[in-house]
Amino acid sequence: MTTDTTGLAPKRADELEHLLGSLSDPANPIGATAVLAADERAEMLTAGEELMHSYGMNAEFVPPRLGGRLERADHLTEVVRSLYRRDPALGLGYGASSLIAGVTLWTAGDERQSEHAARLLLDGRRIAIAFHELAHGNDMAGMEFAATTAPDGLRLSGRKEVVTNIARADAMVVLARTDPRPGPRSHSLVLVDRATTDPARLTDLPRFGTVGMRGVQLGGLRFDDLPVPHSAVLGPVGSGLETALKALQITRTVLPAMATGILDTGLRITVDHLTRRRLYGGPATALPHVRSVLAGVLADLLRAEALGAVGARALHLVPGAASVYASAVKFEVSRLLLGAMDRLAELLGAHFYLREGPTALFQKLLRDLAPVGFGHIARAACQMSLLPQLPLLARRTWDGPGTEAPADLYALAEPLPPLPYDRLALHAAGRDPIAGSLHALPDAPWAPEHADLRAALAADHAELTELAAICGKLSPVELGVDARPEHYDLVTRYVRLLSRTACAQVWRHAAPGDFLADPAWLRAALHRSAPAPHGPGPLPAQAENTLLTELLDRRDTGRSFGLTARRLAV
Amino acid sequence: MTAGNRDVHTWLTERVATYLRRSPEDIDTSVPLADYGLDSLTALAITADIEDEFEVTVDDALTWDHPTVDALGAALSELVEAARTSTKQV
Repeated sequence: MTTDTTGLAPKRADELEHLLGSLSDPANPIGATAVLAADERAEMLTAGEELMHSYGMNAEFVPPRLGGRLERADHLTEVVRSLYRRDPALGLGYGASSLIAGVTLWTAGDERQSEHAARLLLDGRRIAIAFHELAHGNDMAGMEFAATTAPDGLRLSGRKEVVTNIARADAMVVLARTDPRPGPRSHSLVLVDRATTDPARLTDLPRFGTVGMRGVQLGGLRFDDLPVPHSAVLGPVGSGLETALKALQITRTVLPAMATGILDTGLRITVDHLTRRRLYGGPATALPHVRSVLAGVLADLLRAEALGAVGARALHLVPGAASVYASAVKFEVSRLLLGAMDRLAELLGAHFYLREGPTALFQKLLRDLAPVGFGHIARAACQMSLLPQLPLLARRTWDGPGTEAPADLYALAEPLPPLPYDRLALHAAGRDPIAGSLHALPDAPWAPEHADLRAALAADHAELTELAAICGKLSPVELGVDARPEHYDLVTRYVRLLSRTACAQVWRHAAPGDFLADPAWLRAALHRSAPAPHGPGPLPAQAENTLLTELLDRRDTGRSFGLTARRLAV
Repeated sequence: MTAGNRDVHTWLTERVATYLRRSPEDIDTSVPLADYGLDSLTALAITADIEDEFEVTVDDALTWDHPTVDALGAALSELVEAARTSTKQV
């Protein structure tokens, strides 16, 4: 297995794509036919899991110092995207859950715990992340599952519910209350190794059935006074929430970014269907409305991946600000994907509803996409976590120039330093180098033919200043869990500006000749995200034509529709 | 309590009072900030105010480990004092 540190995608992503084989080949054991059959049975795709095992997918989740290939968050995203493009249940069920557990270990585990976890993963075993209790949702501080102190260690009691792979994981990271008092120092993360614990004190709960991701094994576990040693606690006792809030910035960023693979295939199924289809005496793709929707979806896919890529690179380059960017990526990328898939479903009409025939995979992808909006953390909880940061962001960054990011943040092919797990922070302390770059952007050198883009960003800068004036006056006390709904709208306004700035910077830093350096996609991205009471309306004609030409060309040449335009095994 | 200590404590009480839109006299400095509605995430904002005011760098979880004005004031006084000493040495 080769690893490399430069480029938009690592070479091993192409190797994996080759191993996965053609999605449309009915004889491929990991093709659409097999994927759909497993979904109908609500089972994981066995051939897919076996291939993941032989490819060593788990090594993607382990840092290089522990023998794995987790060098770059953006490359990790691109590798796992290949799974989401085919079977999102494989992406979540084989990929995400061990990754989430992994990042808590690489952030808070000591050498012995980290090495143990890395060894399990590199052996192809699973580690579940047992945070969720149905009664408490995203209210992590409210969790009741208890770890009480005993002379020889801890005793774990309570239930964890709706946890991926909990019944077939060899180990799990459990969030447990170690102090009955309220507050942020009352929980701890505990690494439970199932092989060395007393099975009589663990009871598997029945599997939870779901609408989408039907193959993913969601289970639960009841703990009855299970003894674990003190050495099972990750970091100091009481640091559980702190570790979770820091480490999960990585997964909040990369998981929604991986899910763009779903839209990539959804778009391909739709274009394939519409080019085959003749309506009103011509191909459906000649209809102006169809062309407009397709070009708009491509623009949304590109801006979702651009924000995801910048967010992933920010984890490496400006980790102190990642608490803001992770929530923004999760909030915005999920919104873009859910909206775009719904618009494709409208174009497909009855064909998005059929569970058979050449478009059958679409209905599965649509169902499998839904958790991007609530799984791991809900969109509203992302807004909630951004709210108390607004006044400081306003005062320290949005109000005036000063905070700039290294240019490599936006130059997507450039190498990155290792993930600095120890520099992730609970809050950004008002430092926001991406939105902060809006201060200088309108005055940077612009070609005359890009005057409209410059004007759009100058208007964004004015809005950032306006937002700074509003948010700078707010007290954090007004921005807690009981914040007023209009304050939530401030988060939405901010994320819109952040996302537009990220797209503009990616365009400015794109390699000449690359499609990302073409102003058409940025023009479309800015148009699609312009504030308008009834939606943005159709794209400008020239941008629409350029995007549609690119879309059809990539479809004909079997390339991905996102940032990398990679050749796929379609 | 030194004069420097009292400064930190007074400033912190005023700061929290401003957040809560109350007068400093109404703040019981021995009560956890959470009891006043400064929950775990909102209380983090105070650390940045501290950094701006005293020109020190503080741990982002400072308010989690020192959840009252009294405790926060004591921890902060030590940090400010340490920063002053090291500046003098330079």
